[in-house]
Amino acid sequence: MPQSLRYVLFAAWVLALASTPLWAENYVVRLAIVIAMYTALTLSWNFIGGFAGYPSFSTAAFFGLGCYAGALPQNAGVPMVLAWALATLFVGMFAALLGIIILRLRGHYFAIASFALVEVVRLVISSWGNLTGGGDGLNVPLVSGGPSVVAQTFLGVMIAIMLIVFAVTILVDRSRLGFGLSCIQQNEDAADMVGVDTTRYKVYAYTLSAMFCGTVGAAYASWTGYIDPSDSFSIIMTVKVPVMCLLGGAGTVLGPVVGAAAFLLLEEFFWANFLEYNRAILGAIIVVLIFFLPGGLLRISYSDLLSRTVRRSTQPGATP
Amino acid sequence: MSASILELENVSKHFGGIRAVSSVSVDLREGEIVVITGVHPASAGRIRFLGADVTRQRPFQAARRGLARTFQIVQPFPRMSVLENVAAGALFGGAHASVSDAMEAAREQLDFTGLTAFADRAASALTLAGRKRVELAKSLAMKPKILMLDEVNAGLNSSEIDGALTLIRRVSERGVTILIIEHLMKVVLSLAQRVLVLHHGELIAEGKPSDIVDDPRVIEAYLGEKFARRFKETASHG
Repeated sequence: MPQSLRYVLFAAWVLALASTPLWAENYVVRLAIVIAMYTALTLSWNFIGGFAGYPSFSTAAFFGLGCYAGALPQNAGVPMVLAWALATLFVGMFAALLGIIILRLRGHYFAIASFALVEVVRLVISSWGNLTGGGDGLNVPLVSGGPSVVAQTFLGVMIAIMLIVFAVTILVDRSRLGFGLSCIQQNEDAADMVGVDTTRYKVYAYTLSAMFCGTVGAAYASWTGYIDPSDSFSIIMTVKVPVMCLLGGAGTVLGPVVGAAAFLLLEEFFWANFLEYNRAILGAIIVVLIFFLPGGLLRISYSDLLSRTVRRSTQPGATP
Repeated sequence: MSASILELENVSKHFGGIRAVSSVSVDLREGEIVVITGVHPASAGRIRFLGADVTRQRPFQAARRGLARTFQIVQPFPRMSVLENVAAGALFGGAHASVSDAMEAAREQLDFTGLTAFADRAASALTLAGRKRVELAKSLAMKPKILMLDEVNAGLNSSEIDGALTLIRRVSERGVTILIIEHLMKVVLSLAQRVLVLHHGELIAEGKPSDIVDDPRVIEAYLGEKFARRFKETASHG
């Protein structure tokens, strides 16, 4: 599929999400918000997990920190959008400082460290009761308006964040940084030998992967109006996001978009139709998809597939 | 004689209990081709590049300073094309500002090394000789002042070696200082202006190829009587 056609399809998809309030009930609008939110998180993960090839499991840590870093200033009187910007900066700086330490680890060791981060941050937030409300959670100032107005507002916000991360992804993909990250992903020692400052580039990728998770977390806190540690730092989220990216195609520009959409629509379908076993069925399908399509849905040559199907249907009886 | 470009002072390297190099001091002069034969040298001690101490530099800093090297075992970026592999060298080691500039510079190097026809192939799809050539093109794209070639001819057949030797001579004509680690006597004797022979980590001989083959210690350690005699015969006849 030509690159331009892919972008046209992406634009159509964004329009479809953005127009849900016009043609669908609130339940579908809510699904569209969740899709935009997870697409932004998956695009973020793609910087470190896809471009640099470092399997990070710290999405929930950055998302959760973003929830609190957005909520606390608002409770102190900072306007909502400014609080979101503060959360973005805070989480970005946190990831940069942390990255300098844990990006010295490679492969499984990095994955374990990034995973542990979620638990460590969650424990700190839930123990620091007098600041964060601990296990009782924290109320966040509500956006005024009825449920459908709030839904429309946050649909716009999440789509805007998603588009910003998407634009940054395109910039990185075409820049020196993206080239260097893909060198690191393919052969880190060789990248070092041709003059890539590997530590610095990995820190950039990790910071990019974190800061927009912070924005999404802060916006999510304002949307729901209430946050607590177990909701903000969920292990399910930290695993779901890499799975979405792998499903679509890690290291590509549109893979995360396709992956997040496919995952959430499948999840929704199985949840609605198989109330008891939906997770088991979804899990099995994802294992099968990733097993047979290790490059993700985007790496399939669809024109090849189409011509093969056409050939088979026009020549019945002929063995392929 | 031209100025020193790289100075090694009492350099040693251990791999576990094995002493690979012990207290070796060497000067490399600008524009020459030097072959080290014997063992694989590596760094420690004190190394100066253009007068600056570079002993503790990291590999990426070396690359940016103009010290490029190839590996005995080729290190391509496997899922990138040949052009992109070479462009990586131009972009990061050769300090080109943009990706498109680097691609341009990479095309020149592909032309120089005779790889233009393979520009869009995956680096991993080439033969061993082709992949070694990609490594060389990648190093050249980094605009090195010193090019270190680690067994570039290992695993190649005789005609592939001849091709590689011609290429190395042409690189040298561009004014690049070349340091080669090599065991193949054909390469050592036909290419080098100066040969360093290491034995059990110690420098046992240094000089022109024709002097080296006369050195009794070198004959004892590496060449054997028969080879030295044959080399002298062919040299006197031709």
